[in-house]
Amino acid sequence: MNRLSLLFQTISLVFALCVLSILNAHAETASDMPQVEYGSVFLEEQRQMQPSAWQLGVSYSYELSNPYANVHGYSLTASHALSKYTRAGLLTTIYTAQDTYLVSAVNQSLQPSGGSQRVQHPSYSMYATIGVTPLAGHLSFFGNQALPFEFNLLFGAGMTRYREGLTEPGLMWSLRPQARIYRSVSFELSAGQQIEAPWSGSDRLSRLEAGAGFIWAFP
Amino acid sequence: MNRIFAAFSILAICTSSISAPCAESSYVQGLKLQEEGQEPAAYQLWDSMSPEDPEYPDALTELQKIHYRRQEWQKFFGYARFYREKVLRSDEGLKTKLRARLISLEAMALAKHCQWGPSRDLIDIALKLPQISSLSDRSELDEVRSYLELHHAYPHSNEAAGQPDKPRTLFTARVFWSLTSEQVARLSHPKNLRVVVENRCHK
Repeated sequence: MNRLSLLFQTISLVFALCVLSILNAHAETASDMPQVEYGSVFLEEQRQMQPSAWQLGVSYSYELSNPYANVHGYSLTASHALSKYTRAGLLTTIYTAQDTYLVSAVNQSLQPSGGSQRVQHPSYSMYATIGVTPLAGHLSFFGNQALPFEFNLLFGAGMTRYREGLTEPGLMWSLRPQARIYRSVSFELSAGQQIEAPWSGSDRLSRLEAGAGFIWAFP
Repeated sequence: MNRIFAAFSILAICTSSISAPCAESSYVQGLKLQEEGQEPAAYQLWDSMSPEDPEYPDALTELQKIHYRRQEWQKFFGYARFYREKVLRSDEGLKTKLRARLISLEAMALAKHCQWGPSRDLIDIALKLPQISSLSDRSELDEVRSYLELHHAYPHSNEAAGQPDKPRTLFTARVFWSLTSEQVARLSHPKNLRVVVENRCHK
């Protein structure tokens, strides 16, 4: 019995020594290199010197200023960097529109007098655009993860085609804050205005739109 | 059957010899660009390498030589701090990524700023590391140690040019966020890291 207990104790001791040596081997980390501290450490905040040459984007928008139709826009954008802070591109939007209850209510009220209301529904639009980036930096959300951020202004000139056959020239502007959420992918919000037939007094139409989308930058 | 097997073997050997040599690493490509006189392109290539790359310490050595030569001290000390706080602290960092040349360059740069304490501490700590085992590494660090003593005797003979740029916080195109040592280890790349070191040679 004594021999057995002695044998057991010896095996336990050897096992413990093995475990300790393994632990010591894995414990070799930076504590072997004591740190030398000097100077003041900073992170320099600056926009990347080489903005991406090309950007492609997809987005959704909704027209806020049209009481007669729910107009949904699905856009594709492509742009190329002209300089560090400006881009030129093309914005193409396809619209779907459904009449609101107001159209039928107005038609009902006009029916006794023989009148009716015609609502124009946009089909698609195309705008040549110039983008400017006056603000760029990093934003930290509750102190967690600084995201590269840009605030863009977009200006454009183009046309809108309606289902009813009408084509109107137009100008547009929008504010587009953008945050990079992954390596070359950014999330963008937009809010702006399209002004159709801007030089016509009576036919001028102003649309307020808001939307959101994603931008891919490459290379 | 044996003839078919032999034929396939020969085909496999021929195919592998045609497909080899493997594509050159970014580090080797950078060296070639530098030899051709295209140092900016070599710099971009080395700076684009991931700190996880096995050849990153060698690329970092070349980057630090360029920073040293151009006297871009904030960048130099930023990259050096990143190397010691992040790269050497990674798994197997001290075993595979320790380069005596990087420690030597950092110590000499500190000597140019008359920061005698940190420069001596760096060399002394490096000489005590068991990973610094090769004769060439130890002799290089000993040589730098001697250089530090000589430079201490004649501090103005080889000091860093100009005063360090103290970061401004208003009306500047560049903004500096203060960082702690722990936060340095969380960075993925040192390209925006700056360490401002006071030049004590004029004091």
